[in-house]
Amino acid sequence: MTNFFSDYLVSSLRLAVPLAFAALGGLYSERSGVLNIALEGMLLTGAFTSAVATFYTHNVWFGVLAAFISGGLVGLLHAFLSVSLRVDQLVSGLALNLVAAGLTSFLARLVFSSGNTQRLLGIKPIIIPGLANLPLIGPLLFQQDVLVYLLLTLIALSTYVLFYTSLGLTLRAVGESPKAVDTSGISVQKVRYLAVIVSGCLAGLGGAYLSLVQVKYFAEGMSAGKGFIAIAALIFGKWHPIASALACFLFGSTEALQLRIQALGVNIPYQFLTMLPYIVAILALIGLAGRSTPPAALGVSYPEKRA
Amino acid sequence: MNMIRVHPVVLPILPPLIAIGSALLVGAGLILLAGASPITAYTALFQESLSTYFGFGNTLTKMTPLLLTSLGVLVALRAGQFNIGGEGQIYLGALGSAVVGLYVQGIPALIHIPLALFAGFSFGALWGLIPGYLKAIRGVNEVITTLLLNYIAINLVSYLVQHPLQEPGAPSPYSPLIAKTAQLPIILPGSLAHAGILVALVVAGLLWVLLVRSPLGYQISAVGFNPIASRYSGISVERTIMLVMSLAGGLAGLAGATEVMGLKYRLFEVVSSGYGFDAIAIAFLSRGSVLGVVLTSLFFAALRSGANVMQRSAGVPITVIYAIQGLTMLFIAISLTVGRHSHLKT
Repeated sequence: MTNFFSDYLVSSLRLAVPLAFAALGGLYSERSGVLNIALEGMLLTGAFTSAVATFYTHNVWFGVLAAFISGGLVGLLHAFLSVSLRVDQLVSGLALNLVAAGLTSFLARLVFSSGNTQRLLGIKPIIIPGLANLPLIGPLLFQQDVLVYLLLTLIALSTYVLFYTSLGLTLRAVGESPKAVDTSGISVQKVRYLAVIVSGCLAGLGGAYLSLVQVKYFAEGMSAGKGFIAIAALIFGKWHPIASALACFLFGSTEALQLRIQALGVNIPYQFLTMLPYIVAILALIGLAGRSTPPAALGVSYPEKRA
Repeated sequence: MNMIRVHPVVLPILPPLIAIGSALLVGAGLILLAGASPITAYTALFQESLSTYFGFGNTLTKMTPLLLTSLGVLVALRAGQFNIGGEGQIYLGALGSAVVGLYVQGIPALIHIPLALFAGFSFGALWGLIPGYLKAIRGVNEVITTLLLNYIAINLVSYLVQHPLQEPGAPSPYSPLIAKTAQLPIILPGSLAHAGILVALVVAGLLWVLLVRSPLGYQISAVGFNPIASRYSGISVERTIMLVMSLAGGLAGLAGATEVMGLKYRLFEVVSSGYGFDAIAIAFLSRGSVLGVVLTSLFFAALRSGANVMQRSAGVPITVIYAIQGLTMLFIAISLTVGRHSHLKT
């Protein structure tokens, strides 16, 4: 029984990783005041580019790099649209999602014969000696691959940077009160650009994890709303790195349930289990209504548009 | 902008036209990448979809769900709400009309058709009311809720079609045929074009009257433009939000209903191939005008309907259409910053 539970936890973590990468990325962007609905598109882009790069170079690390860069490029585009052109941030995000979905579907058909790939090379797990043998948390935290370790490090690092350094303070200030930051001489645009590009890079890495580790191929639309669940996790986690990551773990665990429930011999049609992460995400948002306050300047262009 | 002398009537449609043109240009690049000639591809696409009898019929059938769903997005947008749940609402509407089409027997078409359409509308409206309520009363962002509800709706229909509603002995999951009295008649004999397009056009006309010429329409625009001032003048912002979201959902539901009643005559696992998301691009492209929605949905429908022929005769994958549509949305987003007037304030 402990084996089952341990397996379940590991599975939950694995499923939560793309969510958490996206959510962490979204956190940077939204803390700076830029709404990022394009996380879904960034995830998909990362998944696609990492699959293509790995397919052609037979080297997963090129895949990871490709995802990082391509995600960052999408972020750059989102930043350009929302910060420089001051397009409505929701519209920009949605448009990027549509472009990403369309382009990746189209290009996938060109690159891979039927739109899906053959088995890609995966990333091997690195087992940390000694700690890996701890019960329950051993397999959970110390037998994962590099991306997971990177994620966990980034979560801890982000918490520190965000709340204990002046860089983090600047970021948060831009999201709460851009005018104040502007008058102090720091460029609001530059901070937001950086934040949004970072969010793209991180979400791209999440996509790389999706296609290189989780399933080892690329399928059209494989992000399946994970970018939106990540946003729900962000809201549920009140834009705090650790809380948001835990929320992602919660959502990941509902997805893991789908895989385990058949093993338990319970006969529920799979669709109800596939629905579960999305239902839980909505319930989480409802439960938090009104009590989760976003950064004050979230979604508002700076300088404000004339009416 | 004043350096170029442009006739004032032409000016508002210029940005959308440039956006579409740019998207088609990039699309041409993609087609070249696929190893085909853009001229052949685009000719095949537009010729088939607009100038052949059968092709135009196809265009009309695709225009029906696009137009209805886009009208829904437009209505919500007028009140400052983003309805991204069109896809799921289409599924729910298809479900509702299929249920009435399957389980209600023995009544004349004159009653059965409106009943089934109403059921589709209601199911979709419910799916729009949920996020509407959550936004209005509980302050939950409707973009996320509508998005998440899509996935729930699709899975729900998938389950129902695979289990309780499945046609016994069917090789793949689909429901039995709906009653003949619930089926929409074909309006262009020899093609697939059905009466759904007439329903859609009538609805478009009614909606125009509602939005532009009625007190309710004014109320909706007021809430979209300035919710605080609206509240001061006595308008219930909450009720307006719930109303537009339900209406938007209902319109998308109607789209799903027409698909089942006019095209498929059954409920399948896949009801919509992204109409809900195209609708968003269409609504934005039309910059708040109902006529714009009608024309733009015609354009998008032509893209989709000609895509198959384009794939066959020019060898270009259909997916380039999705890329072009996404690019159109992107260029529209950019062009929106150029316009001075905007009906689309959030």
